[in-house]
Amino acid sequence: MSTPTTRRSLAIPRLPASDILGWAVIGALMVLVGVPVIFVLVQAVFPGIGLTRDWGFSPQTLAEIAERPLWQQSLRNSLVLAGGAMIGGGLLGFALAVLRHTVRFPGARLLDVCAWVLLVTPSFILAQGWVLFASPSGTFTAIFGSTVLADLVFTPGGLIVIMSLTRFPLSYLATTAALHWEDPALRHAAALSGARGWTILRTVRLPLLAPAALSGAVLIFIDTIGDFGLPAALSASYQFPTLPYSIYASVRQSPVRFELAGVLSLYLVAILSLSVLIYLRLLRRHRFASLTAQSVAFVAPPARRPWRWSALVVAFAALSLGVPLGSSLYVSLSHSVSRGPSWENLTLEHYRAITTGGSTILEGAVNSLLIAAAVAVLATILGFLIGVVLTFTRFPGRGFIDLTSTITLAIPGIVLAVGYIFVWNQPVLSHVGLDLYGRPVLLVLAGTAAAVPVALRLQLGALAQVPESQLHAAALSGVPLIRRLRTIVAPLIAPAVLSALVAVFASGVFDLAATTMLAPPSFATLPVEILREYDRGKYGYATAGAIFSAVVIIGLAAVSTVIGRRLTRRVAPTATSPHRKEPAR
Amino acid sequence: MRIPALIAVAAVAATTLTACASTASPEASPDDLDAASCSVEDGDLRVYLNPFGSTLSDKFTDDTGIGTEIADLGGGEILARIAAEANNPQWDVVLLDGHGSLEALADDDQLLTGHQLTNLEQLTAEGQALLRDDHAWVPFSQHAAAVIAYNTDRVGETDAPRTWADLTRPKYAPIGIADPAVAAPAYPVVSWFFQDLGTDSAEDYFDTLFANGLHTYEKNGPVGEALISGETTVAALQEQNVYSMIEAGEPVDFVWPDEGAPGVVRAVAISADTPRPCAALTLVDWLLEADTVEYLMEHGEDDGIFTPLVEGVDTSSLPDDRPADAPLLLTDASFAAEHEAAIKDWFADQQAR
Repeated sequence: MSTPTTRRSLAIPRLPASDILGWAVIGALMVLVGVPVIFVLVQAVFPGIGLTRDWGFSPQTLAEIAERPLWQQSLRNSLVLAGGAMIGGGLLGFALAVLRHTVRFPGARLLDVCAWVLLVTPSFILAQGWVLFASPSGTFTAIFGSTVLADLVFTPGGLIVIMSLTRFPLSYLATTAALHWEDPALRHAAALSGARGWTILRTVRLPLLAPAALSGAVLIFIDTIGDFGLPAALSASYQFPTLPYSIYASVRQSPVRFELAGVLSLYLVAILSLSVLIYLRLLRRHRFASLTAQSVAFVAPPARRPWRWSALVVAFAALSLGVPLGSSLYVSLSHSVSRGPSWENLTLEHYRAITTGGSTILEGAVNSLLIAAAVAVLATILGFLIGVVLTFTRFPGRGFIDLTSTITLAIPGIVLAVGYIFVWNQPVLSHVGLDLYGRPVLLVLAGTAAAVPVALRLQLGALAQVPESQLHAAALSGVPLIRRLRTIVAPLIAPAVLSALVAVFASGVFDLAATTMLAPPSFATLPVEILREYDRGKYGYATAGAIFSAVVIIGLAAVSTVIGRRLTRRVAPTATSPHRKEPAR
Repeated sequence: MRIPALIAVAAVAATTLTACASTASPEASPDDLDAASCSVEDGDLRVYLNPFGSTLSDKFTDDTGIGTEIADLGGGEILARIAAEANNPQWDVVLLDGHGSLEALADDDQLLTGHQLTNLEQLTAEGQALLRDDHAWVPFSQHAAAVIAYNTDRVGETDAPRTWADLTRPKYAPIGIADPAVAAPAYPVVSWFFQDLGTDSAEDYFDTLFANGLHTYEKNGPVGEALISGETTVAALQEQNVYSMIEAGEPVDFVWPDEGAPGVVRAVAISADTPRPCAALTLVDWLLEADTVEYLMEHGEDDGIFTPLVEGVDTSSLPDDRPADAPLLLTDASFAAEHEAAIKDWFADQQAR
């Protein structure tokens, strides 16, 4: 184990550039997240502010939750779902990552593939897949003639299981990133002291993984509590209102009630802030920089009964990935779900309709892919810089940065989009040429804001393992900050940077709410086109569009992952001594 | 600058921007605006619309030479977008299902009034009756927001519900309906019951449905799918969805009650702040031409199934299953606008109980 030392005032006194970086990050976050969110939140107590002259102070809406059964139910459902998924998905992801990197067995890589595909597949498509499978009008009932699955799945417990199966990759990847390197001296020391495998795992490896595991679990909580994909898909067959769905409904009803959206968003932000604070406290107690010059890529020993693990992994992949994507595929290849499986019911007509000329889904796919690519680059860079400020500096606004960079997970996309319209459609901006509303660039900015939490969290775990001594040494040698980040930090956490880039790209393609509200007129986008077909009840065509886009997304993600891994293959830690950091603040 | 100071600056900026925005005056001057004599402004006409999409915009451009930019969205998204743009509207014309929503916009002075349309006399007597004195919105067509659809595997034709009151009989439960808070055509259904029965009786009616089993779905598409699968026995389903299911051979049939079916009015309106009022009037006038309506009925797929409120339209493209001259029950626009929030809140809370 590394030994405790007093944290050297490395960054701030000797690196004034880190102050500049901190303020630049705050500036970017204020523009992307802070101001639009404040515009929405203040609607809770100042309804109409920023929109009309008739706004006034009206705090009574804040207490309306006591009178509205819908809101109380939404709050309860959100907490139960997010809490359950955090525990279920967190443990699942952690256990699978430890399994994957503790023993070697055939098919272990299937877990990586499974986690990646789930991560890059839009939440709405996965949730829709589960609904298409399990609902009383779904494929399970059509094939087996029984609604028993619907009775099991469409309960709070069933939904927690679905969310855990869908969200576990966040925990899995965070833990996997932390397992990427290890210092064998730690294990050897424990072994020399008489510790056996399980003791070494429990007392050496697991504590070192605590920050990553907690990071993953909290990420699942905040991702779930702000998730709109599942409630949107569920709304087709089960009454399970959550806070994001109630916010969505309040913004879409007529008359539009932004003040209700503001109040409910305030609740979400309060819950999120609390969870971030708890997360930071937990992290402060369990933080180790375990990368040293002796660190090597961990090589797992062969498993004793490899086929047992292989079978488990295959079964798990079939459940978590096969069910939602398989049911979507089935629907996309059927004339009608209710007719059940038969050759007569099999058709390619939906795919033909998508790929023939004039298909708006194709046009939307091209636009959405371009926007997602821009979002991926911007969000990953910003996430990296935020991670650097949080990890390596004593910049005084770190708490604020952490909160602001996480908050968009709790703000439903449609609310963030409304905030963007409030801000970027102000007449005063048109005088200075900054009236971005109605231009595709606003989709990029909104997408970046929504993606920053994921981009940050996926890099933060890896950054926590980079010893400051390496940066310190470079700083003493007069290397400027940007070069230190580029030549030391970035290569060390390259796999995490790549993860962030791919994950953000994939989720950006299907950023439904933002594109609905912010897309310029006559600008087709993929999620809007697909959802429109769902709403019309054209499930076959809509799922064909979803499967088609999921294949494109997964394909692009896979290609960029392979290319990225080749580019980063030679990277290895280059530190010269073990080092332990003082807890982050 | 400290963080709280930054937040304070943002809040002050919000207030300042409001002030700036509020002083902006409408660019249109409707008093002397006559579609027959004004000249079309430069630039594309920005149209927010729920039905027809590019079928409408392409044909309009072909016919008039006026370019368009359309936002083809759900009714809810359109209203949210219009509300969020309130201090700097980016739309010129809106076309959607739900005269109550347009009435609310008119009451809020967001729609152009006092203009002269050339083809207004083309409206049928029913259309004229719906027209506001200030012409803030112009009715275009109407259709059934809900008929009584049933799964023929579960209910025989002779045993099917014939009236809206029949839906309260437990043997027809569970009943499917689109969520009035989200689906644009569903609110006209619920609001009609509130207007027709009065608040207390309407609440009793829906309470009975909830008690028996009322399944709400986000949109009419999923309502139809649930009916096909037998997840629900009977549904209050938008008429267009019913015809396409019958045509596809699904086990579904429907009853258009003798008392009538709650209807929704499709209507068009112009933004009070449009910089292109003349081009916008051209579009509204174009919509009131019989040829245009016929074209949209023929090429609008499901959106083209409606009763036109324009005279002289050949309606032969309507599905054979649609009964001719079937009665529609329309909620009064001002009633719908005035009680919208209260009715939707009540319905949503009942669902959550």
